[in-house]
Amino acid sequence: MSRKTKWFHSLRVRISLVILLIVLLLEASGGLSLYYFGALNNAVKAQAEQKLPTLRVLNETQLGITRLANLSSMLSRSESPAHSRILMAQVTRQANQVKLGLDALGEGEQVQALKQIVASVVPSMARISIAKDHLDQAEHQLGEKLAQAIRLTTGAIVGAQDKPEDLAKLNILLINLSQLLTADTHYAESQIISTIETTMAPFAAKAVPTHVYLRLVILGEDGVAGALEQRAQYRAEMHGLDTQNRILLGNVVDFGQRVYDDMQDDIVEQARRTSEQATLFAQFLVAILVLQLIIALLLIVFLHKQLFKRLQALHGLVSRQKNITSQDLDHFDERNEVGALVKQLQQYLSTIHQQQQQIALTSQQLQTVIKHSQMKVAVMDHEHLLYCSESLRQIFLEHNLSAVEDFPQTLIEQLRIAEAGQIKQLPEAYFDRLHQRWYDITLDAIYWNGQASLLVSFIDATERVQAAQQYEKTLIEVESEAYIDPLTRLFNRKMFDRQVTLYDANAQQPMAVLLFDVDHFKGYNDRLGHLQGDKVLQMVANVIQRNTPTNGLAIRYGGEEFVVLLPATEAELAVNIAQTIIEDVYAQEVPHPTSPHQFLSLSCGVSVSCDSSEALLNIFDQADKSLYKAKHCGRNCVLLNKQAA
Amino acid sequence: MRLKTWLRFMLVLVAWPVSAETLLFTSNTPELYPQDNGYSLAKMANYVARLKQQDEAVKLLHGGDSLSPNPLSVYDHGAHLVAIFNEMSVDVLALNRREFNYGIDQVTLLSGQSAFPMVLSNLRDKRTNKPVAGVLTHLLMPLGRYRIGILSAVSDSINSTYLFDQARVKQSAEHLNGLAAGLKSQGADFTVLVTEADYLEQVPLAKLKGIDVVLITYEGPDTIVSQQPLVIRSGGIDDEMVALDFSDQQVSGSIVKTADEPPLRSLEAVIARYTSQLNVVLEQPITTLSAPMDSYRTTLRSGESSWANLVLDAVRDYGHADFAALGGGSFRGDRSYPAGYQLTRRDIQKELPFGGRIHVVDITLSQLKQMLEHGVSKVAALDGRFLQVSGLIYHYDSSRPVGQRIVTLTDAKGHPLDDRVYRLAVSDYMLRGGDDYQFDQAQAYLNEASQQRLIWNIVSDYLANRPSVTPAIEGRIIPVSPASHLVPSNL
Repeated sequence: MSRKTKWFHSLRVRISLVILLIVLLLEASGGLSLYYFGALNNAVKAQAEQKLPTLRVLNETQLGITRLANLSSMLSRSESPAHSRILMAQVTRQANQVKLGLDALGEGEQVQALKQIVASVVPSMARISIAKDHLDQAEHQLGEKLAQAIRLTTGAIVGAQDKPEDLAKLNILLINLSQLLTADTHYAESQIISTIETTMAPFAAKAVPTHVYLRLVILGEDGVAGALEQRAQYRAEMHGLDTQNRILLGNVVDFGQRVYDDMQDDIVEQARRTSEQATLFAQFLVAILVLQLIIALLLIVFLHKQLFKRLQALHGLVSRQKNITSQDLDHFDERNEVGALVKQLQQYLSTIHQQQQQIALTSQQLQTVIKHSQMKVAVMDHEHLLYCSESLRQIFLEHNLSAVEDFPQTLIEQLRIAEAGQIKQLPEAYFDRLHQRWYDITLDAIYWNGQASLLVSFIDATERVQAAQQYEKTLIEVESEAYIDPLTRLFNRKMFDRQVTLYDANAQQPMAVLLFDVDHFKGYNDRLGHLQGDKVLQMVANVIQRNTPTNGLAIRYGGEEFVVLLPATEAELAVNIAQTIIEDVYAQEVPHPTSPHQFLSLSCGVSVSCDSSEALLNIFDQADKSLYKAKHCGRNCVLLNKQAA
Repeated sequence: MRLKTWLRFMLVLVAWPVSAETLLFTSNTPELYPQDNGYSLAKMANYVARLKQQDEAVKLLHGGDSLSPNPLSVYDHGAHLVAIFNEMSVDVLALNRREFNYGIDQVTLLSGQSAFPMVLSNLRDKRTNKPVAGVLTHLLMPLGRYRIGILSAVSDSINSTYLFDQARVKQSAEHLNGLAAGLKSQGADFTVLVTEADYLEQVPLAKLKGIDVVLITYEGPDTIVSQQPLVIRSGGIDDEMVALDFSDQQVSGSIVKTADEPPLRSLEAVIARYTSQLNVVLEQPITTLSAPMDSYRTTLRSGESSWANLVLDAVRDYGHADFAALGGGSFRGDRSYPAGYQLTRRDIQKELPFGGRIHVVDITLSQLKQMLEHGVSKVAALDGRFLQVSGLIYHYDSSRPVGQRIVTLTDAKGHPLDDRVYRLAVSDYMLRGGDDYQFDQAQAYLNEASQQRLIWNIVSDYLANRPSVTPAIEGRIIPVSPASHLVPSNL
């Protein structure tokens, strides 16, 4: 384990190096491709610009050589000296063209040899031309000699009519001479000549001048035999030159062919080299590709072995085992990043493990504390009630707690919501009706027996709740006192003003306004004193209060004036109520010393709103006007606003 | 050596009966140039001319086999030799197989240029079923006091070597006996038959009647094979000729040498007419030999030849073929070359005088074996069909039956051959069916190599590309049977 870590142990370095290598190979193959295609381009260009024109020149030269051979053949069969001269001119021209072509082909060894042979062709053909000329002349000569011989023989036949022996021989001679005219082979000619020699043998002995001359014309050196010999010689010479010329031209053609072949081989060789290079290049590319593939595969294997598999193993260790042992560490090379990570993780996990143990211990202790305390607590997971303190059970005596479901349904729901929302405290305190106690409920995540659980604590909040309730109550009372008339305990003018504001803001229904006024109250007060006056006012207030329906409001408007507001009340009912109140007050039979009615009485103006949009003060004003009228009508009566009626 | 020859010549001269009628004979003289062994057409011609001047009753019977192979014949198909024979005053030419190298019609054409008659007794043109036009089947030739009947017969093998089934050849004693009887009846005092060994294998001497002399054309030392009847073997590139002396009721033969004759100027002039301008071509140096080599007939027709190895390598290289094969009969040099010898184009042409072209054919392994079997089928007779090769190694056992003689066959490195199609370079001669080789017409012939180039030029080029060559025996052809088995049957 004490192995020394070097730079090359790093996975990062290794992977980078491999990728760098692949990139380098790609670059190399690309560069090589560029180089190769450049070279190929040059080779093709060279072929097109140098080799192919040379090949064209060679082709033309070959053609020229072929023409030369053809001319040679024509020359040996020319019909006349003039024809020969024309052909020779063509030969010279053609040979010059071939020479020019050869000059264009450079100084190669083969080309030089070819030039040398071509140079010997023209003189050779000139000799043929001369030989042909001689041959033609010899043919002509032979013809003339034969004609002369036939003429002379014919003459001799005429002169020898009286010599039957000579005549017979001369006739044979004439036949022989005519045979010579048609003889088509050399052998036949020589056979005929030897026959003639035999035939004419006696002529030499007899010394007849005509016969001697005839013999000379036929068998002499200047005669037919000589001409035949001459022709045979020229013919042979002609043949010899022709054969030589054919050989020379054959060699020229062959040399030309060889030069052509060499050039062709050269081009083919170049093409082959190019093709070989292409093959080599393709093989090289394939090798590089294969190498790249192998390196890539090795990289994958390396990654798989050194990284993925290790990471997977690490994942296994962390997820299943939650722990990394020293043995596990042996599977990792701590010199690379994964090894180092595992080592680090091992330390972390070890710390976590220690902390977990600490937590477990603490939880245990907490559990013990909880169990031994008087705390009203329960421990639950989602479904199960894991623990419930005795003091909590006392709260839910009726429920006999043994499971979460045993809590009151509303509480269960609240607990579920709080748990889901990870709320630490229920918003409302729980009220224990049995013991008349309030409890705040808090929720805390804890480990209970090593298990994530929820600690539900019931904290007595009775005092706080009651204090709050008391405060609330006091607050309401203070608020109510402000709207109450202290003498009559009816609502005061402040309440009327509030109602005006409220009604105007929320008018939805018609309102009946009943406005009462104690008749001749000033006189009463003056006579019987203000205290008696106050008593009377209290009596009137009681009557009004008593007869006001629950939905109505009885208000002391000020002094001896009272208002009753009756929402959603028809005029008839309103008048009835007003009438009842007036009658009820009068029925109290409170003596009134200054009243014509003997007893204390009330006057009342009633007004009912026509529609909901009418302002309350308007209705009040109408009622006031009706009250005024009621006062003028003798008092102790009710008058309804006309409009309302 | 020279003195000895001279003495012998003097003896011959001294022994010459002045009054006798003499018929001179030779054959197989296609070579134009004088040779170190005394061969010279001009010397022979001078000898003939001298005798003819001395005594009129001297005639020259040429046994043929001479119009080819010869480098010039490749171009004029033998016309130059006819001119030379005219100048040599050949009196009659007995046609033989090689005269037909360029076909029957070429012989007819040449017969018009010759100052002598041509004789061939047993061959008919298949197209006309008549004797070759311009050629006599027999000749009754006056010779002094006598009249000599001349007959000439070739073997049927001409149909497999030159004429490829274009000729009908009679090989029967009755036929010749009939002709001989006819000549006698026309007044022939003596009848001379010119023929070749192959013919006599088919028609035994014993069955021939009425023939006084049998002259066998032959490349090699002249020999009197028997006196009764008189059978003489004569011919070849040497200084020997045969002289037949006729006297009453009798004919005798002797061998004469011409090496010490002065050359006949007029003949030299004729030869010069054909060759004077050719030095520019023929004297071109080709390459130098780093080791000695030979082109002996026996070697070329029975075993591996270092010279043939070079030639075959050139042919294979030219044809871009897997293998190359040429019959030993294609080589005609029959000589040795010392180390350091500078080969010229003339040497190459002399060695491969048939010219010929190269063809490349597709061939299967079994066809290849069949071809090699055919090559060794007549090895005992030193037949020209024996194959020289390149790219191949084969062992043969000539003691085994024909068709089972190839013992092993491998490539040049000794690896067995796969059963597939190979490319084989062969001569046009073999492809046409020469030496009875059979190349199925169904085969795809790859003709790109078959251009106008002659084999001697192909070989010259191949060698000229090397400043020197080292001919060597590489073990391409190995006879596994005892060498003593190979005895040429000369008669």
